[in-house]
Amino acid sequence: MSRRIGVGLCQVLVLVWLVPAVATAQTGIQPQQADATSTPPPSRSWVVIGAAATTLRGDCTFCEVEGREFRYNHTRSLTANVGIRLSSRMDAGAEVAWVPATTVAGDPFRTTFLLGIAQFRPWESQGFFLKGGAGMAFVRNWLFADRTLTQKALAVAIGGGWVFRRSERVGVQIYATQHAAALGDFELPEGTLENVMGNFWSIGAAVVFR
Amino acid sequence: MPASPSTLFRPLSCAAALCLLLASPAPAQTARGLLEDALEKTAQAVTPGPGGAATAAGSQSPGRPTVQPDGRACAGCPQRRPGHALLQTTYVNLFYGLGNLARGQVTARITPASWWANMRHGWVWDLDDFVVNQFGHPYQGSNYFNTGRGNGLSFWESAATTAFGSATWEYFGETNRASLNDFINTTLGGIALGEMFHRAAWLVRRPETTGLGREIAAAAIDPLTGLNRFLSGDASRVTEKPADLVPVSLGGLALVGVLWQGSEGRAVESTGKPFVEMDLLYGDMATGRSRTPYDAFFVRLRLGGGSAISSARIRGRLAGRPLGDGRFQLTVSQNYDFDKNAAYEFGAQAFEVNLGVTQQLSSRVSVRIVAGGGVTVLGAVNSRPLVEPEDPMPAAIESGQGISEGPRTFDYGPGSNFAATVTFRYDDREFAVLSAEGRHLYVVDGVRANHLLQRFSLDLLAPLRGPLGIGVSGEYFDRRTYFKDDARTRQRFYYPQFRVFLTWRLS
Repeated sequence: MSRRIGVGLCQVLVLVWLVPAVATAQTGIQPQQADATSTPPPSRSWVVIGAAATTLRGDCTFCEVEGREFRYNHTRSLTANVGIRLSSRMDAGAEVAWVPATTVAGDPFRTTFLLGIAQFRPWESQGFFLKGGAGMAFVRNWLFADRTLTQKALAVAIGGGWVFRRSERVGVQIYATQHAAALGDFELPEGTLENVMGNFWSIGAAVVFR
Repeated sequence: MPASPSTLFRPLSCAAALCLLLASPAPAQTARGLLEDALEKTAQAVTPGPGGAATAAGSQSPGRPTVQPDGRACAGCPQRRPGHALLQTTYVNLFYGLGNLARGQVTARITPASWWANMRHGWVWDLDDFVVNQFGHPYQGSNYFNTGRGNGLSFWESAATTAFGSATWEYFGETNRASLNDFINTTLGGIALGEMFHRAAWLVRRPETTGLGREIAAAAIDPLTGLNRFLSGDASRVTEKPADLVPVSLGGLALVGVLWQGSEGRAVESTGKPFVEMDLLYGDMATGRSRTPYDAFFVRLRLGGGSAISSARIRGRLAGRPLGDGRFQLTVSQNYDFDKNAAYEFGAQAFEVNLGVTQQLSSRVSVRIVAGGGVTVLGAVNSRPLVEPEDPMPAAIESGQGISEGPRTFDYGPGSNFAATVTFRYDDREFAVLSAEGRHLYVVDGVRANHLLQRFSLDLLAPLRGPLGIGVSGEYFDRRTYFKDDARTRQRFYYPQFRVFLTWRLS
């Protein structure tokens, strides 16, 4: 777990370090404009595109009682938010998160989250934000030899982070989120597992367009 | 676990009764004075002052508040302190945690190790009692919500503090695994109950006069806002009431009567069950352009009739606008439901879009038709397993007080909801209401099935003398369960219900 997370974190840190460097490579006009009256960008659009290191684990209501244990699965994910700026402190829209993974046996499965999302910054002068949303998840697996199976799940997400250059057209944010996908039944070749819940923990970075 | 239903029942019913009593015409001068004050302040809020829409004193006009030098959105509004709001949600968690500890619940013995274990495990479905999950947790969520409102945050910002408080409670407030159904019910139910309590408390307050009696009464309805007002000194400050917390209209109906439930074998059981119901209509959901959440909402609380709380529902308008020539009204609302009857027990957090139209049938008779549907984010319905389990599930850990080992007797899942209501009025007074509502639930945790719950009702009302009236109601509850077993079994349960009651009109 530690090596993959470490690689992911390194990538996040490099991304965070690089973006401000790109910004300061621009001409001196930019800093002068930044020194002027700090006004939000004219556009109300809010677009976030990012990547994260993700750890996921499936479980079911009585698995712990029945002595079943499920391992943590480490992978990466891509996330995109599209929405509008409701106020200087709040953004809302839709989120798509894509998480590819493989089972212990090496079979691939993909989870795609489609959520309504809202992001709230308690302090206008600071970049700290809280994030939450709900919607659906689609779990597609290739566990069956003769077919692929896509199952729907109730999905919830919570998270937080920090956004830099929040008043500019292009900014960057670092974030940590947890997604949950309540699948209900999870069909396996050897039978059906009931009351399955998948938890996905992500830490990553994203570029913010306004 | 949050406070048990029995400990919540008394303060909630007292709060509802207190609110209606203080707004009731029984002390007639008080009710008329309240309504006149409300309408006068609304007129002042929408009429520009000498300095235009925004004066140096920061008078609030709807939709564009002017921030005061001390961070208040208006003279009567609390100071905006987001840090305080987040900190106070932690205090709320501490309060409930210490309460559970005092009650001897082993789940309150939290440690950093239990925090880490919960964070590593993630969300689960819990096995708690139906009333605790569907009523107790939303009340706890309302406390989180009102830490935000009491510290000057907006509705949407307070919704975020509710989610924050709920998530931190689930992960850090108990040794139980973090419960996803609790998180959803606490957050969404807390938003609905919280804003309703917040606005109801402001109906009681009179900040333009001194006197602590109403402040204390309001604090009983919305404890967190009341506490903040006392701590900050706002409770003794003479100011105007915040304009966006003054409804354009206020009405209510109190019902006292008896109901008879039928069964599949008999149309009506011989034993009648007494009930008390309180309906509150805050603002006007039928008209107006609105982007202020809960500037209009409907609350119903029915006590008795077969259970301590047989029905509780909130319909809070999030946005509304007239369509066409103004005859049609489009409304987006947040719904909170809790129903307990012979056919089903149901609780849900949902959102709905409605289209309404009002038609004048004669000079004195009008009809209003409202229809719509929406999404149920999470609903719960009592289980009807095809085969009762022979042996209970073994306990996960050594049992202790506060640990729910199950079996859980209800199923969880998302779904959809739809409803239609036809209301006939004579001189702006309802005399017949015909309604149909349905809910679909797709179970993701529990007995594998799709549920379709329907309710049809016809209410007939007539005035007796002044605000006193009489009414009769016929209801029909229908439950259809489509199991996902190999045989695709279907079950149907249906129950009629009849009510006779006296009404007392509050406006």
